[in-house]
Amino acid sequence: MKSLLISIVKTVLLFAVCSNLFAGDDSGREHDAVLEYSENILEIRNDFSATYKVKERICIFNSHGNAYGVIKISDDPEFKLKKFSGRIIDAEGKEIEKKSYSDCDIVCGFSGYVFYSDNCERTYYLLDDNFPYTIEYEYEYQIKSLSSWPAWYPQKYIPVEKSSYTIIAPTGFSFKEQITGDLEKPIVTENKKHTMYVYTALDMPPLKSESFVYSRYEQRARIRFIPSEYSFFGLHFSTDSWVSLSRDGYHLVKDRYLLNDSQKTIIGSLTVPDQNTPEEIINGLHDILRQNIRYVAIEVGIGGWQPTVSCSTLERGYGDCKDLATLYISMLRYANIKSYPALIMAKGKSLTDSGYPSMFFNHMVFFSIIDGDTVWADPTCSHCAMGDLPETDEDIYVLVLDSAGGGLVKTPASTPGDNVYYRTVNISAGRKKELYVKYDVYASGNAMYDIRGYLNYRGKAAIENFLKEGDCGVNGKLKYTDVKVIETEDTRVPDTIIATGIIKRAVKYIKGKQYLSLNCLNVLRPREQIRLADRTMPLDLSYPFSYCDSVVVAIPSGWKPDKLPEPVLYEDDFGGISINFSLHNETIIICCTRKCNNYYIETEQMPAFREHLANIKKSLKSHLSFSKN
Amino acid sequence: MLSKLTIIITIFCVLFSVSGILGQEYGVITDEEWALEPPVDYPGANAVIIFDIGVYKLTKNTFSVTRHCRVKVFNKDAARNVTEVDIPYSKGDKFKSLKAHTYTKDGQKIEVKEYVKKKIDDTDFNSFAFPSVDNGAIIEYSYTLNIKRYWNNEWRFQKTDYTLRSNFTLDASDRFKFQVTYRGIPFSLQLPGLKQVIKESKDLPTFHLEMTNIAPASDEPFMGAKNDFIAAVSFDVIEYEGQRGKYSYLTPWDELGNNVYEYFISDFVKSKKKISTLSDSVCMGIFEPRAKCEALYNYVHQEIATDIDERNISSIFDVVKRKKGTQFQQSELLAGLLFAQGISANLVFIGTRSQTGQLDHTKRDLNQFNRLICYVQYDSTEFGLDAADQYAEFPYLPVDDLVDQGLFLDSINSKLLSFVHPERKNGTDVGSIIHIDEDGGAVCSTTVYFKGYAKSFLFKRMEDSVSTEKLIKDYLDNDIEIEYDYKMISSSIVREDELDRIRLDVVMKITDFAEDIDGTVFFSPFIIPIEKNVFIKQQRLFPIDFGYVYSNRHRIQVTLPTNMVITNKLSTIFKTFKVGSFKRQVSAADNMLMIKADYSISRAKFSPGTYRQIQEFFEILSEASQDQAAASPIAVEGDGQ
Repeated sequence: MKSLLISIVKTVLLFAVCSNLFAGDDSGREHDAVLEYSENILEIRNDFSATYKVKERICIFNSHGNAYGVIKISDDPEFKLKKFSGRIIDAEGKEIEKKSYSDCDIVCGFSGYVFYSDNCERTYYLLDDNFPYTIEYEYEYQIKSLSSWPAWYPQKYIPVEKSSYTIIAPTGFSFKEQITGDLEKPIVTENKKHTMYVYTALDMPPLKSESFVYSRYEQRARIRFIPSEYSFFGLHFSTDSWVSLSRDGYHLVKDRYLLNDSQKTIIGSLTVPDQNTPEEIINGLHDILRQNIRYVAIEVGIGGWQPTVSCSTLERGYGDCKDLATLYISMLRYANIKSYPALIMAKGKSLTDSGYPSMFFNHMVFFSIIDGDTVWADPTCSHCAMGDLPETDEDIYVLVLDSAGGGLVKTPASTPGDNVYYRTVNISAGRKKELYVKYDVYASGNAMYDIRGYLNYRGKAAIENFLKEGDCGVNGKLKYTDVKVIETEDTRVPDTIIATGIIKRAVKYIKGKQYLSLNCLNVLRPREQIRLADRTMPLDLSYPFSYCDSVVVAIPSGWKPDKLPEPVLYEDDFGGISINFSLHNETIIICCTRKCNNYYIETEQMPAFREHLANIKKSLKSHLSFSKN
Repeated sequence: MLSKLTIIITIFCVLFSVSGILGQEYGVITDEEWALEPPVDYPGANAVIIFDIGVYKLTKNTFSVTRHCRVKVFNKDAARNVTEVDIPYSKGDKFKSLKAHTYTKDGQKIEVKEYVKKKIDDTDFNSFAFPSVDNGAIIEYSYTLNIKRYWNNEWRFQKTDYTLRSNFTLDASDRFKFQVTYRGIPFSLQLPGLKQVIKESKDLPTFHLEMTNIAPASDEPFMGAKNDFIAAVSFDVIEYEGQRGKYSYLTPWDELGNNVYEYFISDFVKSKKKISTLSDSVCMGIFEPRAKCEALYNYVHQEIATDIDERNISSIFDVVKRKKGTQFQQSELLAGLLFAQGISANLVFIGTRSQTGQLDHTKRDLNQFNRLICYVQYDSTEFGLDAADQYAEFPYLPVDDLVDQGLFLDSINSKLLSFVHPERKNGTDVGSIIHIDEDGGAVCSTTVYFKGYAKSFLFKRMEDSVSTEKLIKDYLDNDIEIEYDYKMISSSIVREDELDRIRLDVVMKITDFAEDIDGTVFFSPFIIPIEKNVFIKQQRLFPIDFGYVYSNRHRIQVTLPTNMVITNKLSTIFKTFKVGSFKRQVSAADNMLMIKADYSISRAKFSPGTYRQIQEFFEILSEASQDQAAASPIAVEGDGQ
C-alpha cells in the first residue's frame, strides 16, 4: 500500500526531516534554524508526466539545527530523482562545500515496516561545524503519474520566511485543491498553452512539537492536489466523486479473486450445509488463515496498489494488507458471503475528508454482509477477532471498491463500554509499612488489543515495562515479585496479566492509626497525564474507554476500619468516575468505575477537559484509616 | 529504519565469521525440537535459535562461508528479526545452494521461493521472508557463500534471540596459522593453548567451538561498549607457509605503530618550519609549559573544526588554511605545535569506551583503535589531550577517551602505553531550601553544582537550548523526572570554569508538595533524588561503566509553618560498600528540618560480579530519596481536651 501513500510521503520529505524533535518559540534566533525560502515548481505535461523541482535555503544556527542539513530524498521508478545539487555557505557568505547528485548515502529495498520495496532513500549531508551556516539545495523529480502529486506543506518546525508552490499546467488541465490552515488561493496567470498557479506563504510560524496529536498532518497549513482525471499503470481514475473513484479503484481488485483447489477445500470444510452459520464460517476461516498467512509487505511497481491474486497469496504464505484482504474476500465470496474491500487512511497521520474525493489511502480492510449487517475486519491484525477493527481503523471514512460504485462509508465507532480495563487488586499491609499487592488485569475491545498487540510485537519480556508505562495503570512504585501472562489462543478471549509485588512505605501510622492510600491504581492513562495547559493541537485519546476496578483491602490483623469514606460520583460530558466502599467480613471492597467518552479532545475543549481531569484526580484523594482493636 | 539497520549489521557480523555443518541434516526436525518451549531462564523469548552452525573454509585461493540455522518461533509478530533475513555479500561473491523452508505445526514443508536484492551503499543483501510462519513453526535456512576476498573476522555466538546451540568450525589448510581471540566466552570453554592454532591432522578441522544456552545481549544502563562483551571468537591469520617459504602476518605492536606513523602521520609532523611559526605566534609572550599547552590546545580546539570527511584535507597546511580537519589531523596538528615549543607531545591511538571498549593487547588489530589523542609530558606532568572533542576542557580528556592503554606512535619506538589521567573532582552538589505553606504547597530554591565530568552533559545543551528556562525544565522533567506539579519562578545557569563547575539555580513553586492525613503533614524533602535505581534487572552480564569516579552531595533545609513541629525526621544512615558509601545525617528543630546526604562510588568501572552490590547500593539511595518526614500542629494548651 506504500504507493497509495506516495503523494503524501514524497511531498513531506523535508517536513519529515524536520519533524523529529524540534520546536521553539517565536523570536528569531531563538530557533535552531530558519527556512529562508522554499520554491516548489510542478510542471505538468499531462497526467502521466510531470517535473517537480524544489529549491530551498536554510540558515542553521546550532547543532540541533543540523537535522535540517540532512536531506533525505525518496527515489523510485514512479517518482524518479533526476538531479540534486547543494552547497554550504559560511557566515561570511563564502561557499565552503558543494554536493552533487552522487554525493549521498543510498539505501535501497529497506523501507520501514515494508519487507521490500523498489524505493531507494538518498541522504545528502549539508553540514558544517561552525555556526551559523547556510545551506542551499535543489533537486528535481521526474513523475510518471500524478496519482502521487506532491502536496505542499509550507509550515515546518522552524520559522519559514517564504514558501511558494507553482503549478504550470497545460491550459484546460483540470485539478482540485484542498486547503488546510491559513493559506491563500493562488494567483493565476494564463496564456494559450499554459496556466500558472502560484501559491505563496510568508512568515509562517513554526509548529510546536507535541505528543499524542490527533491526525497530525491535518493540524498544519497544507494544500493537497489531485487531477480531475489521471492514469496509473494503464488504469483510469476520475476524482469527480467517491462513487467514480470506487468504480475506478475496483479495476485494481476485480481479477484478483482467483481461488485454487486448496482454498476451495478449506471453504468446503467450513461450510457444512445447514450447520455452519456465516459467523462460524468467517471465524473458522480467520482461525485458519491467521495461522498460515503472515503479514509481510513486498511492494514493487503496481504491486504497491494492486493485490496479489488470492491463490498466490495462499501459496506464498504471506502478503500485505491488500493481499490478505483479497484472500479473505475471495474465500468468503466462494462461501456465498458477500464481502467487499475498503481503502482507508488509517488514523495517526491524516484523515479522509468526505468532501474531497481522492485516493489518499494507505491501507485496505474488508467487510462482509451478514443478515443485512456489516462485519468489518482488518486481517493484518492477526490478534484481532473478526468483526473487531483495531482502533486505527475505527470511526473513519473508507472507500468501498465495487463495480457499482461502493462509495464512501464510515467504519463503526466504539463506546467506553466496549473498551474496558477490568482490574482486580488485592491489598494487604505488611509489618514494615509496605503493601503487598496482587494485580489481575484483563480487558475488552481495543484495550484488549492494546495489551495483546504490545505482548505480540514487543514480546512478553517487556511486560513489566508495559505495566509501568502502558494504560493498565499499575502503580509505578510497585516492585514486582512475579509477573505472568495467561494467554489465550482464541482472539475473542482476552489475555490476563497477573502481577504481584510490594509497594514500600505505602502504609502510614499517625497517632495510633494506620492509613492506606487508595492510589494503587491510576485511572488516568499516560496520555491524559501530559501537560495540557498550553497545548495547541488536539489530544489523541485513541478510543473511548473505561476502567472497572475492584480493590479488595484486607483489614490488618488487630485493627478495625474507621468510618469508610463517602461514595464518589462525578460525571460530565467527557465521562466520569464513581467510587463505592463496602465492608465484607475481613475486607473492604472498593468498586471504582471511570469512563472516558472521547476519541480525541479538540484544542478549544482543552480547558474544560483539564477541569474534568482535575475533578477525577480530586476524587481519589482519600485514605482508608484503621484503629487498633 | 535504525532498528532494521542494527539487525542487518548484526547479521553482517555473524555472516562473515561463520561456521560449519557437522552432522546436522537439513530438513530433519526432531520430536524434541517440535516440543521446544521458551527456555526456563528466558520465558519471554519470541523465538529460539535451535542451532546456528557455521563452517569457515580457507585455502590458499578460496574462502567460503557455510551457514545452517534452524529457529523455532514462539511469537511470530515479534520475531521478524528471524523470520525476515538479510544476508550481506559483496560484488564478486557467489551464493551456492541457498535454501530456506518453513515447517508448520501441521506437518507442511513450505519452501521460500522469493528472494529480493537490497542495497546499502556498496553492500548488497540477499533477502527473503519465511512464509506461513505461525507460533510454533520452525524455520530453517542454509547456504554457502564463496567470498572473493578473505578478511579476518569473528563468529558471534550471542545473537538477538536466545540460542540453544551455536557451533563454529574453522577448516583451513594446514599451511595457515591463526591467532584466536575470545570475547565473553567462559574460560572453561576456551581451548587450552589455542592462542595460536595449529592444525594437527588433515582430517580434523583447525578449530571448533560450541556454546549452548546463550541468552541474547540486551541494552543495559552504564554498559560502555556493548560489542565488547558479546560472546564471540575471532581469528587472525598470523602465518602462511607457501612453497617458497613462510609469510608472517603477525605484526608486532611496535612495527604496527611505526607503520601507522610512517604512512599516515609523518607528513604532518615533518612540516616543522611552518608549524614552528604558527606555534610561536600562538605562544607569543607565554613562557610556562603548562600555559603554552593550554594556549595551543585552545587554538586547535577553538579555531580548527572537526571534519568527518578526511578526503577534504591533504596536508597540515590545508588544516590550518581551511580551519578544518579530521579528529586525527587535529591531534596531529596539536602534537606538531607542542613539539615546536619543545614540549614532548606524542600521538597515541586509543579505542574509546563506547565504541571499541577494552583493548586486547594480544590481538594485533588496529581496528581496536578509533581515536588519536595527543599525550603530553613535561617535568613530572603527563596528560592526554583531545582537541577535537567540542566539550573537552584542558587538561582533561573527554569521558569516552578515559581508557587505560593505547598505542604510542613513533617513527621507530612505537609501543603499547599505559596512561595516567589527571585527578578531577566529579559529581553534583545540591542545595535546597524548601518552605512549606499551610496548604501543603512549597516554594523551593535549589542550587545544583555540576562538577568536573558531571558537567559535560550540560555543555551541548547550554549551547543548543533555546533558553535557560527550557534547559532547566528539560533537566527537571527528563533527567530528574521530578514527580511534582511545579511552576518555575526563576532559573539561571552560570559556567564557573575557574572552579571547574556549572551552577544551576532554580526557584519553583510546587503544589501538593505535602500530604495532610488527619492533621499530620507528610513530605519527601528530596525534590531532586539522591539517586534513581536504574539497575532493575535480576542479573547482569556486562561490566557497569560509570565513565568516571564521582561523589554527590545534598544539603536540604525544610521550613514548615510556625505552628507546626517536626514529629518524624528521617533516620540517619551510614552505609559503606565495596562499590561506594552513603551517609545521611538529619537534624530537626521545631518547624525546621536539615539534611546532609553524601554518596560516592569507589571506581569508574565494576565487573558484573559486583552487580548485586551495585543494585543494593542504588536501591538504598533510591529509597532514601523517597523517605517521608512528618510534621504535626503544635498542641495548644487546653486544645480539644
